[in-house]
Amino acid sequence: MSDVIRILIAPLVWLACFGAIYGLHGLSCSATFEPDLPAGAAIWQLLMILAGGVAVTVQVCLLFALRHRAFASGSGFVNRVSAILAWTSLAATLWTSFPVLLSSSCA
Amino acid sequence: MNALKRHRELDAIWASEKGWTGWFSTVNHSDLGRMFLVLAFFYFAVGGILSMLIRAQLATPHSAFAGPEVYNQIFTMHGTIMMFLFAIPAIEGLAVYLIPKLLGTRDLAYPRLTAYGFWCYAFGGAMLLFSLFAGIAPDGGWFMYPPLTGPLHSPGINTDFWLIGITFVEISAICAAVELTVSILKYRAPGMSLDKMPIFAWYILVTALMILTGFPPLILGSVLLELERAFGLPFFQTDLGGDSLLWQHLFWLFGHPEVYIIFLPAAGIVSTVLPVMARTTLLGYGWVVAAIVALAFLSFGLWVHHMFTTGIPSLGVAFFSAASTLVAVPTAVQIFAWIGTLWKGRPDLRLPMLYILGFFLTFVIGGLTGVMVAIVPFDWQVHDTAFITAHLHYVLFGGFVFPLLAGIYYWLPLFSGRQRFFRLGEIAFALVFAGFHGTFLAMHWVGLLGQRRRIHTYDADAGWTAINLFSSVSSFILAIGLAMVLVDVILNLFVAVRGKRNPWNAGTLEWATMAPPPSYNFASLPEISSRDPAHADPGLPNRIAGGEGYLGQPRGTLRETLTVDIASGRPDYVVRYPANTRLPITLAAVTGLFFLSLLVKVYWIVPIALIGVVLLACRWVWGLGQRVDEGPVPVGRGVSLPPAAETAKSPGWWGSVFLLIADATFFGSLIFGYAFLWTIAPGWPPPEWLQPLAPELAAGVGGAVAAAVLMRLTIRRNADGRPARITCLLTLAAMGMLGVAVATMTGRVPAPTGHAYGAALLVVGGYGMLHIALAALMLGFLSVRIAAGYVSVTRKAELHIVRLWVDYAAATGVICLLIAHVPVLLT
Ligand code: HEM
Ligand SMILES: [Cu+2]
Repeated sequence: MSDVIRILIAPLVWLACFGAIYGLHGLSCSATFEPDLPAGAAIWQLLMILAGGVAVTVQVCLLFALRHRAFASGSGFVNRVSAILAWTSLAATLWTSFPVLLSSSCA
Repeated sequence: MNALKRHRELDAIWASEKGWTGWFSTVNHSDLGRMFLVLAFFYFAVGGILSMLIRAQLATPHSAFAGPEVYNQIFTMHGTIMMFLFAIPAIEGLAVYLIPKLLGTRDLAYPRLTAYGFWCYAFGGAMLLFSLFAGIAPDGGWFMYPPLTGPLHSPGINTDFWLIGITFVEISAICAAVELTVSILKYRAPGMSLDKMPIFAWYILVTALMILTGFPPLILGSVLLELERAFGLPFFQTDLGGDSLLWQHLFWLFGHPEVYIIFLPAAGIVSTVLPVMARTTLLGYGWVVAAIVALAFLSFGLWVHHMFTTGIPSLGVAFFSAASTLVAVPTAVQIFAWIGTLWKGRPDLRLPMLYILGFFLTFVIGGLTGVMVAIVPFDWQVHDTAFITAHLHYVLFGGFVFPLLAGIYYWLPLFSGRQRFFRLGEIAFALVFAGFHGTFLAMHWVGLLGQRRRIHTYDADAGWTAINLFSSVSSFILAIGLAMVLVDVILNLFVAVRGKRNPWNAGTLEWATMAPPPSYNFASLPEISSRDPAHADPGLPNRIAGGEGYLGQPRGTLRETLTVDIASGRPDYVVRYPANTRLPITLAAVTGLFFLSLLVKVYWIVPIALIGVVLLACRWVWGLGQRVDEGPVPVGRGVSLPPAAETAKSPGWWGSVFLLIADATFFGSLIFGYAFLWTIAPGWPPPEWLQPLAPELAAGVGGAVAAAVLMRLTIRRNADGRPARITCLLTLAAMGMLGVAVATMTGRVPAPTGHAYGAALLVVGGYGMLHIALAALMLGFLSVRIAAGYVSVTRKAELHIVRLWVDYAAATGVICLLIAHVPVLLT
């Protein structure tokens, strides 16, 4: 099981972060919250950029963890595949969370 | 013992009943795989005939044999049948048939479940087919958008056939997915570590995991829409706090991964067949594995690209546009691996290769138009036109049907043990290829000229007539080609001459046994040390038949195989399978009765059917296990292994884990739906909130914690050799307390038919209660099993399975209570 988890963990975390950021965006745009906050939109955007930053950091940590000896698998194949996937997930995180930097509107 | 005697003895143990009655009691994966494939291709023919009707109607502006009502049913059923009754079951059939043979084992993990899944598919499909012939087929398009399909605009029974029939069929997909996952992870030839698995097994593993996480959102959507239609719970009605966009989210949360669920196994066929045709090995095995895992995950982050025209916020559009462009990368990795394989090999243009070339060309075009529609402004132009239907056929037909036909021709000598002798297949390929491109290139074109999809007629002076006629004529050529494929395959199966073993000179294990394979697959299980065992050791088939592998000595009437450690492939336990039985078909029939009574709204039958399901399920599980400790038994080659009942992580435990992953996805989608309605739907806040009740919450949390603790105590006591039945019953009591708390919460929900808030809480509570009831049932069953002597210090497997379900019920029960209480406290 742990080898299966080693392979799946990085993209799983990408999916979770992607879902979370999208959910946060949904929240930020929902009518119930926005008008109650002063400068609401700016705060929400800051929050989302923060969330994107956290997602990237987590992926970087995962990458180091999976490459580290302490967490390595006995199988070289599993180590190789999980490393490729950790890099892929890092790239995916950067690519899919950059829109929060460029666009903020709920329109 | 010589090879022939071994064959006779093994066959006596493993064979299904002789004659056609054997179909109803067989649990053999080869039989069931073939039955899946035959039925799936039957539905391909039905769907194909429907598409001929569509093209006949669209051939000229004056065709008049289908009015709009009939036409709506025809295209809806065409899409539905092709996606749910053809594509997915065909994949399941191929995997069910091949996986144990590729992995060097004797059957799948749960033979009776294979049969149950097949019969659910057969009965559910029959329901839909009936609706087609009775003229009351679903007519809301294959994605069934409300409000069109809601109770107000589609009051007839048509939509219910879809919602209930498809959910029934989906059970079979979930069964097959659980089974394939566990089989691939645990049921392999000794020595077959993860990196020595045939690449096809990786594709099927990833696909099965995607089914487990992709189908639950659709099942949830169907349940909610059916609840709205049957009982007026307004999940999708905007004026009552619902939102029809919720359906689109749930549907495409399933629907986009579905596309990859269909494509990945087809790509798996290409990755298997292509290297053999090119007389080399697949380039970049590790990269391909990583690419398919990445593709699977990315495909879950794309669903909103089907909703670009619904007016969602532009940041959301940007997210999903970014993610959509990203999937091109792992797909490209695979394509480069294939091109590289061709490059380093010496390709041979035999029939499977022709279909693979057809796949390449078609799929690349489909991929390009796919990138076009991922660009939002372009999508706004062509949305809902024939351009989209043309694109989706390039991907589905090019990406699925071509590779599938390549696979059918590739494995045909294995299925039949015969050798093709006509050249009919090559002519058929030419017709299919030309017909396909004629049909759908033309549809791109009229789509760009503005012809919408799903229209039953068009204006004579729109300028589309000639193109449509061309498309229709081409589609008939395509149909003739496909009919020739069918004739060719049937001729091969029945009249061709016997062929030699392994005609393609492939390296994988399915070719190392007889063709057609015997009921037990392998006379003894080989020890694997290479990814292409048949190449590494040319004497392997004889060694297998000579009983030199594991389990070469038949033991009594036991159907035996081995499980292995997931990563290393070291053998760890012996498995004994149940024998032929009619239990699966009976259980599927009673399950069908449950769905049927919902469909025709005869609700008093529902509880009777449910009780029937429970009783049969108990009967099913009771037959497993044993009453004496056995300890390690010799399995050949000087190795002794304990039976699987003597471990905490038995096959049943693994199956439960993966079933619970699907279940958790369902629950997660439910919570997503609730949160979505709360934040996005316009009709909120509801007129009345649920009043928080501290004692209810406290009793629930207390019960849940107590149940989890007591269950662990039960396991501890059993491990110490002390009686465990009392604590087991105490766990049941704690579960009961949690159940009462969740039930009172559900009973207090305000006006479920008046607002989506109450409706959602009702479903959340119902979900919690269902799982608590299930856990309670298992605890009761377990205490009886303990009393009957099925559990001991070593035979502990059942305790650990029940613990999983108790933990899950406790956790979800608490979450249900929190969902009802916490948000109200916050607002
Ligand atoms: C056998 C050759 C096939 C032909 C000639 C064909 C033809 C068509 C046509 C003309 C339409 C458009 C109907 C309309 O918009 O009014 C259509 C829709 C569709 N087809 Fe096919 N098709 C074929 C095979 C397939 C296959 C193999 C699949 C899937 C595996 C498939 C899935 C669909 C789907 C999902 C739709 C959309 C239905 C809807 O709009 O609700 N088709 N087909
Ligand atoms: Cu999609």
